[in-house]
Amino acid sequence: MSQHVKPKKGGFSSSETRSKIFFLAPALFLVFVLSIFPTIASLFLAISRYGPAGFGGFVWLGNFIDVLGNRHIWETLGTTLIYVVCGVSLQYLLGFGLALLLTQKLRFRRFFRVLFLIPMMITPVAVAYIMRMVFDFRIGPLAPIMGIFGLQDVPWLGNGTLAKILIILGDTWQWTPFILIVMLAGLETLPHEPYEAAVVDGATPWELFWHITFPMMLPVSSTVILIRMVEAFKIVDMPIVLTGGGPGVATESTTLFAYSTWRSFNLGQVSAIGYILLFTVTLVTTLYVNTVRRRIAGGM
Amino acid sequence: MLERRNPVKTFFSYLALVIWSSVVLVPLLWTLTTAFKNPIDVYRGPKYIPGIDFQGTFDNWKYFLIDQWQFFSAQYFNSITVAIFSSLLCIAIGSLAAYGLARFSYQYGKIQNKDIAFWFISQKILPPVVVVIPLYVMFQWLHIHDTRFGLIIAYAAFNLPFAVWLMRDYFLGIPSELEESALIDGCSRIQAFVRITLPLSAPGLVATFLFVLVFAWNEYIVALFLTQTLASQTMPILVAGQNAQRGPQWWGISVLTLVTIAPVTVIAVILERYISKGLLVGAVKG
Repeated sequence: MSQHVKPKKGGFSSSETRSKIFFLAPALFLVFVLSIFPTIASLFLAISRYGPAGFGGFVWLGNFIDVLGNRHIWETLGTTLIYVVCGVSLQYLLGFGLALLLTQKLRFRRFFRVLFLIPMMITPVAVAYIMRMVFDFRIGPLAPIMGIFGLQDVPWLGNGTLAKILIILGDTWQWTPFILIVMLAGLETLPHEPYEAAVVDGATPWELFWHITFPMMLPVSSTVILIRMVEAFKIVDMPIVLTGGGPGVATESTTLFAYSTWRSFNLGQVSAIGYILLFTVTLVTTLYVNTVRRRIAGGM
Repeated sequence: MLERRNPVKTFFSYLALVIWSSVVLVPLLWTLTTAFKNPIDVYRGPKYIPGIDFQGTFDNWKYFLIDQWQFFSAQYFNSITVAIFSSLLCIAIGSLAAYGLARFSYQYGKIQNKDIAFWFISQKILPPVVVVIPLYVMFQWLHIHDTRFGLIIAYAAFNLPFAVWLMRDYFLGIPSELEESALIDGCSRIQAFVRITLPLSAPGLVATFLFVLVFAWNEYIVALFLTQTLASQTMPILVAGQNAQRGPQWWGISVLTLVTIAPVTVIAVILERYISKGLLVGAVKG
């Protein structure tokens, strides 16, 4: 699809202005009521004391000072950032590689495409359970192989680093397909001419990739990474079911931290944590857009 | 892409495909076999094929589909209702907005179509935890907390940015000449939209609907805040709740996982068609 049809300038008739608003109004209304208004209300909660008894007066920056003064929030932000950076990088490498593979003229291509798509359609909480079963090297499907290497007692849930790795692997199993389908869609729209010219000049497949495919895929790559990055910051389903945030707080994401704070019904602090996460996502996304994406757009 | 028939390269390509296929399939097949295992066979170490290295059983299925039918069916029904109605609402409202953004030019001060479209999609940055507490308070005040209706409008709103983004791109790819001639013939804008543009964009609508349906079907954290009882709890809540005091009951979890992922697997097969026909391309290049 291309953007060759420009929105009409001016209008067809005088009733145009009215129908223009009619088309946009319901969507704006829904987003305002269920997204914008709650976001503002959340800020109100974040500067209030709000517990089981209801509103208990304004504390202004009190909640933020309490939350930020504790190591807990910094640990969860660090963990979330690890999930984002490691998970998205791994997914990008695998997804791009698989997309390249699927552009080749191989048999059963459609079968593989459908099969590879399935993990991203599965409920994340179910993926978490499935991963726990598969990575149980004592009674899981890989037990015989892992037994040979003496790995049947890997304490996935008992060691902070291993537990984080397990969550990243689960997330990667689930979301590599997303990168795959988007990159595949991008690869299929690339022009043929540069390849033909380069082959005539005797370029190797590796050179074709580095000097043609990779640079031409940079815009799509930067978008797909941006989308995954924003989504990965919200990670919560996987740690809640896989590890419950443990051992200790080693695998707790910021959203999970907010959820456990909600359980103690301190709504003011939950909102403060939410805002800290929102600020972090916005900051990282803005940095990414202004450095990586701008450079790519400028270089094209 | 140019292809040179190189047997070694072809071999390694197939090898890579087989490896990733196993990565995808082994966990799914393992879940399938576990659903037919007795607890003792789960704990006795890896058993692979029913009838050969363990005796298969339907007890786990019977437990949820007969003994626990009352609870299971309520949650499955909630999931179906919420997913379908929130997606319909989302597509109805989203396609209107997308059409507006694709066909008219809005100008409010410095704000133009591009900015409105960006504003919609930028909603995706918002972490659910930011909005979910006020929604919880608001829904309780409106008496729609712990109802399917509450979850339906929440999901419709959360998926709206995605639907608007994808549909806008789809409408932009449809030539506007047909609509223009209909307008000259005396059709109103709405009539032209409903009678001409919508039928032409059926593939885009269906694909967007299916995407949104899957998102709504799988959603967990918002449902965790906005539901409380069987009146509105969805399947992901039921699945996640299996982390029982006696440790996870893998055989039961496997059954629930399978019945939860069966519908979306079918959707995946249908969606792949649309994706391979070029849906997503324009939306991602933008």
